[in-house]
Amino acid sequence: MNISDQFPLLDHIPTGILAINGDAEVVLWNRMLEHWTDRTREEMVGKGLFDAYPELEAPAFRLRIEQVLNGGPPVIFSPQLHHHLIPCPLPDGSLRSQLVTISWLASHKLALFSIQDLSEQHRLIEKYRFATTELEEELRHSQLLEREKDLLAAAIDQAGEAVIITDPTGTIEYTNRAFLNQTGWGPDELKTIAIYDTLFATPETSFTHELDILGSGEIWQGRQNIMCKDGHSFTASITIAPIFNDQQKLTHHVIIQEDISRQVAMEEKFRHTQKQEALITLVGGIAHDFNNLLAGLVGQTYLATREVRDMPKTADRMKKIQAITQEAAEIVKQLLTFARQGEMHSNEFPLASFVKEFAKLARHSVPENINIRCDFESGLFPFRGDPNQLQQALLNIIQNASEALRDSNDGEIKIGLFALNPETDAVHIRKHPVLRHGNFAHLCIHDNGRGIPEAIRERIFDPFFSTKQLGSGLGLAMVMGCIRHHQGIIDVESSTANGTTFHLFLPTIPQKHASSPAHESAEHAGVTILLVDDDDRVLEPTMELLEAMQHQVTLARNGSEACEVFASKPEAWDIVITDMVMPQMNGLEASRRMRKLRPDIPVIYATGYDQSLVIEDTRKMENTILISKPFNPEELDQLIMKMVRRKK
Amino acid sequence: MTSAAHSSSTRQLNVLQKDAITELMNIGVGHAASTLHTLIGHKIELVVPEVSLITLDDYHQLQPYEADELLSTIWMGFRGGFEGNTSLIFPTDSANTLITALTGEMDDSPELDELRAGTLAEVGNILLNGVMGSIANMLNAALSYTVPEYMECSLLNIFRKNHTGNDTIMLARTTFAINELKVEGNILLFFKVASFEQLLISIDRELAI
Repeated sequence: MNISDQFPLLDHIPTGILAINGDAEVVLWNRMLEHWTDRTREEMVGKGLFDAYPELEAPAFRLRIEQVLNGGPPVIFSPQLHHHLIPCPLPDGSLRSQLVTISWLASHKLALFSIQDLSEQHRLIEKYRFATTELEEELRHSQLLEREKDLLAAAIDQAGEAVIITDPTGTIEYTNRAFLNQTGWGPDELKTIAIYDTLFATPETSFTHELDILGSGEIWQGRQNIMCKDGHSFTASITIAPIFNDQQKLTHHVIIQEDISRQVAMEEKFRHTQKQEALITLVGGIAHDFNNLLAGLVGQTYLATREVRDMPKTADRMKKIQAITQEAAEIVKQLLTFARQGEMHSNEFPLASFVKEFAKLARHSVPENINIRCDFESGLFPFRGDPNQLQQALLNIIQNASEALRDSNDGEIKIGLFALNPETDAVHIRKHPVLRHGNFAHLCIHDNGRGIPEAIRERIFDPFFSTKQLGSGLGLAMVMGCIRHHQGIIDVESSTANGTTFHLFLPTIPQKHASSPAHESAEHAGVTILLVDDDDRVLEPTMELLEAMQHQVTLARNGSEACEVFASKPEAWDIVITDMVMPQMNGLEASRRMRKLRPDIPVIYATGYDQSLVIEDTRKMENTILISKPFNPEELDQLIMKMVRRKK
Repeated sequence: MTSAAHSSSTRQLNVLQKDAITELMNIGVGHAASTLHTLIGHKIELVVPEVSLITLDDYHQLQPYEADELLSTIWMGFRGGFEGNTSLIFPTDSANTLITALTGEMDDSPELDELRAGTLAEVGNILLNGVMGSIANMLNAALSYTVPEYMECSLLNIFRKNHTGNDTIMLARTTFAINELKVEGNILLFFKVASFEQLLISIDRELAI
């Protein structure tokens, strides 16, 4: 049955139309379907739909089609779930995408298939979806980049290191906050500044060579002095990297700059400390050897003096030699103090009364035209140290101040003593973190003299450095050694306008009653002495010296020999006098062994070369005294008698 | 499901009639759910249908939807022994999820394009045919149908489409859910009052109430 002629309009609509009867035979096949399928109406009409398209036999299709043929509701086959119902090839070989609606035409008892070709819409939708997805992806990517860019910008702006971006000539285009903080420049003030010609330039150097390196694509790293807005400069660690565009053309420089002025100061301090330590070692070694020579010289001179009592002229010369030798010994003592190897007689005493007494002494040691003013904070400032050494150190500073005020009409020296103040002493505390721990007294000595030239300021504590024609160059070296020996800190401030201030920070101790050494008079009588020294130049004159004082002396040339001699008759000895540093066995070890046999035996350590630890050890031993070579014969005799009497 | 019927006309349905219509709806929806289960492979949860007489003013009682909430709707009219229309409504995100489950194609856009709308129309067609086919068969009614139509509109507009003025219509409603996909929808059956008596006669006759 062909009913197409009854519906001519159906050949003129852009929709595929087919109808099947209750037996599923095609009864209508419009022109659009002929065109789409290349199957003619004549070919299709009368043919079973399921015969023509066997794939429609599948239940998903057949059951629903039959539902319509039974008068049921219309059925839809969507393109997304089925793509097509009637295969219609496109020129490119793909099949048309179809939306098929099947309705029951009750009047004709036909199922009418309406087939819409959605291929073009499908293509456009896919294209739109793809474009949308691409756009969304692009948008997401762009947002991500924007976020990264913002994060990067914030990170650079808030970084601890300064970041600068310039054009290839060095004209600044961007600086972060750290750079502005470091240099004091405002952001707008830098726009026209060429960094390499101004901020990096110094009278001595230009940046031309470095720019050549950057031009070749290499990164430049180094240290550079950076000029700040207020004219001062600081040292910075600089990394400059060239930035190239896609065409490999140099477009910018990025400069990372870190302020390392503190690090440089630390390095300088470390270098200076190393130099000081080397000097200390050198000076200590020389002083030790020289001391031994002096000890021999003093002893020999003393004996020679006794032998020439009846030769007045010679005796007089010998006394002069003795006096010169003592002066030489004083110089060596200062050297040892600087080298922190001298003997230190520590006592506890109040720094307050010590400084007051010192101020009186200072008044007598400077010319009358120099005014001395004092400013002392109330308090005792208990201190443990060697008052003689400390007094000598302060006198050395006063002498320097006096020298600085030589040509002044209104010369003034101020001596002050205060407790360390975290606010007013903040500069010193930052420089010396040790001041944060423990209690310190701040002793300062200021003069309004001509100041110390900056060029030599670093060297003033070096031994043998002096600007005075007759200066030994040991005064301030001794001061430095003394203060360090007392675990103190010394700082100097000086300018031509304001003069010089020495700041001494001395550790105070918990308050106790300061002790004063008891003075006991010596009672002379001959005693038996075991004298130990490895240096004959010291040993022999000392023995003669002691014998001349009515003592009985037995010699030993090292620690081992001394122990043997001592052990042969331990009860025979009244006292042992021993050198500290000797080959085979040192004096300390030898005395320990002897004390095992005679715990009460008094020991005098005579040395010119003591290590601090050894000194500390000797302090812990009872009835033990440490003396420096060369020693004064009378003082040595008194000391011997005092120790022997104390034992008894 | 919250009752949508507070109209005085409710009293026109006796308990037996109401139970019969509920049962009719239940069988139809059950058939539709079975078809949908075959299609997507997930378990379909059904709530017992509710039958009520409503007017246009009662639309806002159809919770949980907001009055102006955009819903995906498949609508199909029918006439013959009795007249009315049937609708399947989904929130658009549920509609999207359902299409994604069926086609595997992701699309997060709030509105459905023509292809995805066509898919939902077919799904709605299957469900509504299941309901209407069952009811027509059980009542032995010869009905003619409009071609199913996909729309995105609010609940108010769905009601307006079914009401003339403020007349009373009978609404049979059931909710189904695909919990695994977090998809929820409603099947609504509106019967016009003019055909209401005819429906009851058919029920009386065919189901021997």
